[in-house]
Formats: sequence, structure tokens, C-alpha cells
Amino acid sequence: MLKVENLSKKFGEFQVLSNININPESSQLYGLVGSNGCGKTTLLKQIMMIYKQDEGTIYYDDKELKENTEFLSDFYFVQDSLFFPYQSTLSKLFAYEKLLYKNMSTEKFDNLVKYFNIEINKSLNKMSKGQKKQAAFVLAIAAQPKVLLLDEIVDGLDAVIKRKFWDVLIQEVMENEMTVIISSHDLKELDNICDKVGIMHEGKILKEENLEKMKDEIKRVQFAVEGEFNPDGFKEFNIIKSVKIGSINICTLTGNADEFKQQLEKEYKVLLFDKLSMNLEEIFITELGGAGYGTEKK
Amino acid sequence: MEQRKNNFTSLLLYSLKSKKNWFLLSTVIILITTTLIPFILGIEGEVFIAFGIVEIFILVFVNCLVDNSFLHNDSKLAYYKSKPVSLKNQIFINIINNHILTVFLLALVLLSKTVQNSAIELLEVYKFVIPWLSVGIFLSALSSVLSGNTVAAGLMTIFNFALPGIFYLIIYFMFSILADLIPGFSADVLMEYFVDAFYKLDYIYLIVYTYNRTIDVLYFLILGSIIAFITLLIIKMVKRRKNENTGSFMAFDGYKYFVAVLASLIIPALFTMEFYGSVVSKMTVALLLAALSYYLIIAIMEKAFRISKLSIKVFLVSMTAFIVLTGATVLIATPYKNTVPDSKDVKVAYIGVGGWHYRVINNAIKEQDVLDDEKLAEFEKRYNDINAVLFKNKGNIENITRMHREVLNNQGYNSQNSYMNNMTINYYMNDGSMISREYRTINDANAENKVKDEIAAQILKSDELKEKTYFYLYDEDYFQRYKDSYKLELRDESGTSIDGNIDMEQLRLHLIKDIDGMFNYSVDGAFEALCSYDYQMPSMEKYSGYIEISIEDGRNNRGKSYYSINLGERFVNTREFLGIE
Repeated sequence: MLKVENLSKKFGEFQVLSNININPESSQLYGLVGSNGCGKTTLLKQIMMIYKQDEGTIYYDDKELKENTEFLSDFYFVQDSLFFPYQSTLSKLFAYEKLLYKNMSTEKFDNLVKYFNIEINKSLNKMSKGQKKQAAFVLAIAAQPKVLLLDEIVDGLDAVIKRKFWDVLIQEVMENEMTVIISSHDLKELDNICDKVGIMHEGKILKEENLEKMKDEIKRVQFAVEGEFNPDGFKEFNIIKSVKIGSINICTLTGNADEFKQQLEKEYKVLLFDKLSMNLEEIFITELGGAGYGTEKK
Repeated sequence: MEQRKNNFTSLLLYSLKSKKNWFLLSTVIILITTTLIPFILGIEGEVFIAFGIVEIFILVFVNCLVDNSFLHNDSKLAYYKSKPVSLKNQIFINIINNHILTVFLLALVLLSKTVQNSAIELLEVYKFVIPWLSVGIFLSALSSVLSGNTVAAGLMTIFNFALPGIFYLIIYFMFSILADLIPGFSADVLMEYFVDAFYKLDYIYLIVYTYNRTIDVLYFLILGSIIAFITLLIIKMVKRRKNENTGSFMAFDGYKYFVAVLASLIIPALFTMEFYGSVVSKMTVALLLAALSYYLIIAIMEKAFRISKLSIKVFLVSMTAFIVLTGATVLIATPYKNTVPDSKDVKVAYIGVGGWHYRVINNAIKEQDVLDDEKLAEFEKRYNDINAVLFKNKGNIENITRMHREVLNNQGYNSQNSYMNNMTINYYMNDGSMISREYRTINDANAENKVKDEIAAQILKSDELKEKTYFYLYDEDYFQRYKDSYKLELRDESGTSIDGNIDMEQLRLHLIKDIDGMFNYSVDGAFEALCSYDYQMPSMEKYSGYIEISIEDGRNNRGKSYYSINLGERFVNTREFLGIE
């Protein structure tokens, strides 16, 4: 199991990561979401020991990764800005990576090449961005790592390929007890597949929770009451956001929605009350709004 | 362990296989330029073989930079660093790879040489080419680790290779400041001593093995130590490398300052050492240039016009350290400034022009702790071979110490010439020690020449000087022994050879008469004559032709010795005898 504890990193004077704590679990898909430039890629590179942490510890199977770098042979990182060695083809690269990864499976590679319909002898540098991502993904899955880090892997892919990606990934996670961390801007995609989510902003993890639990914790209610609704009397329900559209009030809160309704009925004549479900994108916007991101007035 | 070894070997083989195009291209380049072109042109291939060696340097250099360029691009670095093979191993795979390529290219050039049956002694050349290439490969890897981009890595490879030379230059700069501050001290003499005793640059670069010296254990020891040191640095620096600085000029801030500080010392050193002027003006210019160079280098490396406070601090601390160190050498040398030995303690002495004389002398005295009579004769011969005189006469030694005191008090001399030579004085003491001083003479219109000229004239007029400088005329035994082999070459002022059957016996008498009387009627300019080559005053005498005498005396390897006398206006008798107007 992978665990990141109090990780901090500075680039010169700029604090890129600050006191990061994440706990991705095996056989789970961990979604790392965050605003642009919040440090997602840096965090993934930090886990891969590409950068050295200034402070904090990364554990793998309860052992410090820095002191046991041999564990990194069980890790596989697919970066956003893909690189392939000069004049390499997928078949050549597979031969090279077969020397590096002890679990590299020829059978899995062949199956995936067929499934994604990739030309294995075509120069990788001549392929489209989407084809390159597929090639990199095929190699990553064929390597059968225990920890797979995918940085913006579905960015720029069409819906069909995305669906293929998720199918393969979910199957691998279930069958091989793989830990997968995916950073992505495509929150709708992650909403459907992630077990756990870490929301990052300005180098910090604002929230880390199981997605379902997160959805339970943050609720949105819409209601109409006689008279003007004043949220000041409902502080115990932690109203994060309150807006009024016409006569309808919409509140995002972390407190109990049923108790909120009871309190509301005590103080107002409630004309309408509905509980709304929240998706990851909405939770993301709410959390980041709480951190002052995206709340600037025009 | 076994698994790791296998993994390393497999990766090395894979890496070699992926370099096959480089091998092919290099083979074509080397074979065309070293074999095919000379064959088509039908000319000797020596120049082309030499060119082939230069090509090897370029090809290997480019290869190293290309191979290690993965350290200078974020995506490439992330790709390779995320693979389960350490960065250290990847770098060493590249190093081994480049060594294999180097050996292959060297073998190709050797093959070309054999095919052409060229006279070039390639194996002699390889004695230093191979270690230079090998060290270059290691240095290129180290420079790539230290640098953030490939262009910087290339420049830093050259910089690091030249580092011993750069230190040499900086130490020389320190000594030149010392020589400016303390009359009598020569930067050349000090550097000569320093290099000879401590800083063996010719060994560091293995140039010492180029002159027909056989490779020995020391050769391998030096090469092994250098490579081990660089390897250690590579391992250390790979561990400490800040990969987030990839793309910048330098990956390490410390190294950035190290380069900037050294460069800021070299540039003023190169400029100011070539300038004449007061110590204060030279130092001011040096400091200005150092600050400017440092600012420009840091600004370029940080890609910002405004440099950080830390950079300014580093510069100030480095300059202070340099000034303190130079000051310390000045303090150490100051007590010796006024040392003029008692003539009684001096066995032999030299006074005359500086430059290369002391090098010959130093090399000779190194082998002889105390100059006994037998060794002294050999030592005198060495002086004679460079047309200089080693004075044994007590009167001359006394005059040399008098001149030393005079020059110590005042280096000024009112000369009509635009250029004056420095004055070197070397004492070889009875106890085997040596005192060497070099004084920079200053052309001063207000200087009083009388005392200096009088002392110089006494030395120049001495029998010892004449007999030693013109021994082929004064030494009766020598003349009688070799007179039949004396050959004369007489040229007029335009350099045209003058024919004529000249009686050597007669010519000798006229020359002796003129040399004897040369300083009898005036002592003007004697000081400058003493500081000139061959103790003549060529700059003061109107050039009016010269006489060259070659003698088969077996004094050197050529079999013949050549002596020439500038027939200035004061050679009245000789000129009349030869019929020169």
C-alpha cells in the first residue's frame, strides 16, 4: 500500500507542494484532481522519486520508499508529456522495457495491441497524441505493476478509446490488486470510476475521501420558503454556499440535510424542499470555491 | 546481485545495438577522410590521420552529449528516471558505450595508418589521446549531470577539462600581483617553482609521456586516480542532483557559482597580465572586470538582469578570499624582498636578461645540490650554450650585489629606447641554495643612470665576461684546436652575403681589439647592454651587418656551433679590416 505523509517540495523559493497526505489503497482507483498548476504532476513525479522531497515521507508497504528504491521496480509512471526514445517503435520499446520490468507480459501486450489496434512497427514519434497515449498505456498495463501512476492519461482521447481504457484499467485493478493513481481534469470521467479522490489546490490536499462518502458529506438542497431566507440562523449545518434563483434557494452544506429541513420548517413556512445529488465536478468546484478559487467577481 | 548484473549487461547490449547507426556513420566518416581522400588525391596521409584523430574527438564528444541529453529534458528525464534502472547505471551504460565507440574509432584510424603505411607514430600519439578521450567521456557525463541543458553540458565539459589549466592561470595571476607589489619577484620564476614542486600540470594532462617516455605504473596510477575521482563525483552528484532544475543552465546552484567565480577571475587575469601600468590601476581594472564578468555570467545562467542577493554575497566572499590569499603570499614574500646576499657567500652568479634563461638554469641546478668544480664546469657550459655568463670572479660577484642593491632601491632608468628588458639576478650560494630575482625596469626620464651604468660597465668590461662570451676568440687553446674548422659568413647591413677570402687569425685579432675597447670610451647605455641578449647593445648600435662563425667543436648534437657578432659602429678595426664602410 502506498502512503504519502507530510510531503513538501519547493522549487527555489516557490512552494509547490505543502504538507501533502494521501492514502491510495490497493485494488482501488485513486483520482487526483485539482486546479491547473496545483502540483498534481509534481506529486506524481515525487512519488516516482524523480524529484527529491524537501520534507515528508513516502511509504510503500510500510517501508520508506527513499530508503528502499528497489520497490520502484513495481511502479509504472505514464506522464502527460509523453516521451519515446528516438526512432523507437512499440515493439522495440516493448523489447527494451521487457529488460526492465520482471513482470512484463508478452501475452498481455499482444492482447492489448489487438484490442487497441495499434501498429507496433510504426515509429512512435510519428503517431498522433491519442495513439501515443494508447501505446504508453499498453506498455504500462503489460508491465503489470503494483502501482500505476497515470498523469492526464485520457486527455485528448475520444469517447470510444476512453471507454476501452477504463474497461482495461478496472479489470486490471480488480484482477491484480493494483493501486492506480490518475490525475485528470476530466472530472466526469473520474466520477464514474474512482474509488477515492484527493482534491488538490495550490500545492495542498484540500480533501481526501472515498468518493461515495464525499458525496454523502456534501449535499445540495433546494427549497422555497415564505419570506426571505437568512442562512445566519443555520450555522450548525455548515452552509458552504447559498444562492437564490428567483424564489428558489440553493444551499450546499456538510451538515445533515434532514435536520436542516426540520430546522427550516420550524422557522419558515416551507413551500418546496428537494435533496439534490452532487457529482465530482460539483464537489470539486465547491471545495475549491471554499478555498477561494473561482470565486473572483467579473 | 546476479540479476542486477544481468540486467546491466542486457541494457548495455541493447544500448549498443541501438547505436549501430552511429557506428556506421562514424566508420564512413573516418574511412573517407583518412583513407579514401588521401588515396584519391595520391598524397601522403599523415595530415589526414591527424585530422582523423580530431574527428574522433568531435564524434565522441557529440555522442556523449547526445547520450546524456536525457538529463536535460523534463519528459526524457521523467521517462528514464521512472524506469527500474538507476540514473547512475544509465549514465555508466552510456560511458561504457562511448568507450567502445572510441576504441572502435581509434582502431579504424590505426587501420588507415597501416593501409597507407604512414610514417606517423600513432601509438605515441595514442599515449595521451586515449586517456584524454577516456577522461573526456567521464567528464562529459559529469558535466551533463551538473548542467541543466545540453549546450551548457558541452561548454562545461570543456571547462572541466581545462580546470587544472584554469587553476594554473589563477595562481599565475596571484603571483603576477605579488610580482607587481614586491620588486624582485617574478611570476614566471614563482610559477616555475610551484609547478615543479607541487602542481604537476604535465603529469595531470599526461603530456609528460609524449616525448618518447615509456608508459609506466605512474601513467596508469594518474589516469586511474583521475577517472576514480570523476566517477566518485558522478555518483555523488547523481544522488544530489536537483532534477527540477532540468532545462536551466545549471542543475546545481553551487556549481553555477563555482563556474561564475572562476570565470570572473580568469577574464581579468588574461587582460591585466598583458597590461603594463601601476599596481593600483591594474587592480582596479581587474576588480571591475571580475565584477562585470561575474554579473554577466550569473545573469545569463539565471536568465534575469536582476541577480539574487546570494549571488552578490558569493562574489564578495570569493573576491575577499582571493584577496586574502594573494595578501598572504605577499606577506610571506615581503621579508625576502630586500635580501641581497653577501658576495662572500656566493659561489657563482648570473646577471642579465630574464625570460628563458632561468628555466635552463633551474632545470640544471635541480640535479645538483652543491656545485662542486666538476659540476660547475658542466653548469657553466649550459650557460654558455645560451650565450649567457655565469660569473665566478669575486669582483664581478661583488659588482652584481652592488647592482642588486641599486636596482632594489630604484628600478628607473632613462632610456632612449621604447622597450627595456627586465633584469634577472641569480645567485648560487656556497651552501647549495639559490636566490633568484627578476626586476622590472622602468623607463623614467628623470632617473639618474650614472651609478647603474658604471657598475654595468665594470661587469661588461671584465675579462671574465669577454672570455666567456667570446671564448672562441679569447681562449687560445680552443682556437688553436678548432681554428681549421672555423667557417665565416659575413653579411652587410642589407643581409647580403659578402664574399672574400678572410684570414681568420687576422680577423680574430681585430675582433679582440674592438671587443676589448668596446666600453673604454663611454659607459652610456651599459645597464641596458647588461640586460640584453649576448651583452651587446643592438638597440643602441646602428645595424651594420654581422659576422657569423661556425665551428665544428662538437659542443652540441648538431656537431657545429654558431656564433654571431653584430658589427656595430664600435667595431672600427674589424670593419676596416673587412672593408665595410
